[in-house]
Amino acid sequence: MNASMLESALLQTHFDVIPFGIYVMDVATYELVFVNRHFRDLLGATEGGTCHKVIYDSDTPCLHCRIPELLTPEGMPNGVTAIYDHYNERDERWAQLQEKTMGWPDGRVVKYSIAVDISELKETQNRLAEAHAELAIRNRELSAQNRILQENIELREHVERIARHDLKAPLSALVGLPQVLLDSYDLPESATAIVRLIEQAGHSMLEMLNQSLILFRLETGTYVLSPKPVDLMDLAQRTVGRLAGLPAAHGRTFQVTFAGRSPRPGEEVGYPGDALLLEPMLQNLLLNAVEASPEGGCVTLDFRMEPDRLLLAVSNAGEVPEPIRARIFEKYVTMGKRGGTGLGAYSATLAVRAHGGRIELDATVPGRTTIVVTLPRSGDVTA
Amino acid sequence: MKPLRMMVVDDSGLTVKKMSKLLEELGHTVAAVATTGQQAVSLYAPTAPDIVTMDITMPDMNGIEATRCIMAENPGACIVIVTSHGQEQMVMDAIEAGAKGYILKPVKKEKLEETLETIAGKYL
Repeated sequence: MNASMLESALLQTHFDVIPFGIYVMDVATYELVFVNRHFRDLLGATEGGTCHKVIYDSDTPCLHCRIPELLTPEGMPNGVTAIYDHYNERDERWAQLQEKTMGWPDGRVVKYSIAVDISELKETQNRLAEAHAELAIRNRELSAQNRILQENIELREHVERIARHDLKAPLSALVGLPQVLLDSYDLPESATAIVRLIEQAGHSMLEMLNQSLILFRLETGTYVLSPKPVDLMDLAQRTVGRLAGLPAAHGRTFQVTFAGRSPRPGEEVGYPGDALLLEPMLQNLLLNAVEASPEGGCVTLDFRMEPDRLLLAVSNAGEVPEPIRARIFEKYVTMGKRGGTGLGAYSATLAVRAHGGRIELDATVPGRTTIVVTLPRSGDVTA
Repeated sequence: MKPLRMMVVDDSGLTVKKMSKLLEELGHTVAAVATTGQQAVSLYAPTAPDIVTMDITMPDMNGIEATRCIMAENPGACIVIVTSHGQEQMVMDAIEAGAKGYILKPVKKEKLEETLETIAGKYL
């Protein structure tokens, strides 16, 4: 046995005692020069075959092959050790590979590779990566849905804006011409009544459009509050008078009070605010209350003046269903009534907020619902 | 679930064989096989598969690039990445390219079935 063979045998003995798979291959030809006992037991006698065929069952050199990183430009060992994880398609196992080039005793430049099986460790890591991917996919899907929703909202607002603008022009004829008819023609009484109805309908529609415009400005933050003295008692009594004639109020009554007692004749509840917001706010709260009230019920509106705030409490018999209590002031949330848009309480909330106030649901008394509005009296109202 | 027409993309003949066997066991048909990213892009339209399983590391064009190309031409394409790469950046790149599923090798039959069912339920 010559010195080179002896050295080779020593190296092989040394590699054989290592309890991991080790192979040595010729970097020029990919020929397997040696595999240790561990690999021999798994793969059989493989020396002479190419590493990519024997270990990875591939007819061509592997895409992940690191030999170029382990050689000098002259093709000699550069002392670098490459460490990386690799999945072997042949046996479906994961290995951490540690590779380095060296001079083999017979003069060839070889790469030796130590493979430690890390399949169990990878199993956990891979499940984690799959869960991470699943989350990322769901996030992407959610973002796409949100984008569509946002686009729909913007489109609807755009259409609403156009509709409001375009509707106002023809409405001016509907509001103005009935008076011209009445003044210019001697209409019979029945026709006069019809013309008055047309005029009232036109005014109602114009009012709704104006409200809708204000709601839009409140929502988009373009509304600026210019407070003027408003008599809320007068507004409330006029609103109640109007609502009492509605079919929804049939068999129900209203009661407006001040600190729990009937108001004295001419008694005012003065507040610096915007009547264009406060009147529909009262109307929406009273209408919701009367619609939710059972037949024979009484809807009450009580004003209470405190040094720094004004309290309004609208109360009716009946309860708001538990599931929607927390969302009752949100847009499009209805209490299940037929034809409800879910805009009444929302619009009232915007009007309250525009005055720097707050609105709350009080469901503490069983069988009753009370909406409490608190408006600041500091004068520092903000939109 | 209804049988799907599948396209398998992987440069490893072994993986193609194993994946095809798994898919057939699940009742699906392998309508086409591509062994490079470029081939996958060319074969996608004429094959019109329900779902593609796509490897990442392949010669000429990698699976993420191929996914991006297929999605650009066919926004409704359903592509599941099947790879040995679990690094976060790789996952994010694949999802950003439009992949609708991500499975790590070795592929487990149950995971493959669950992923295909989810995608078929949502998109097909």
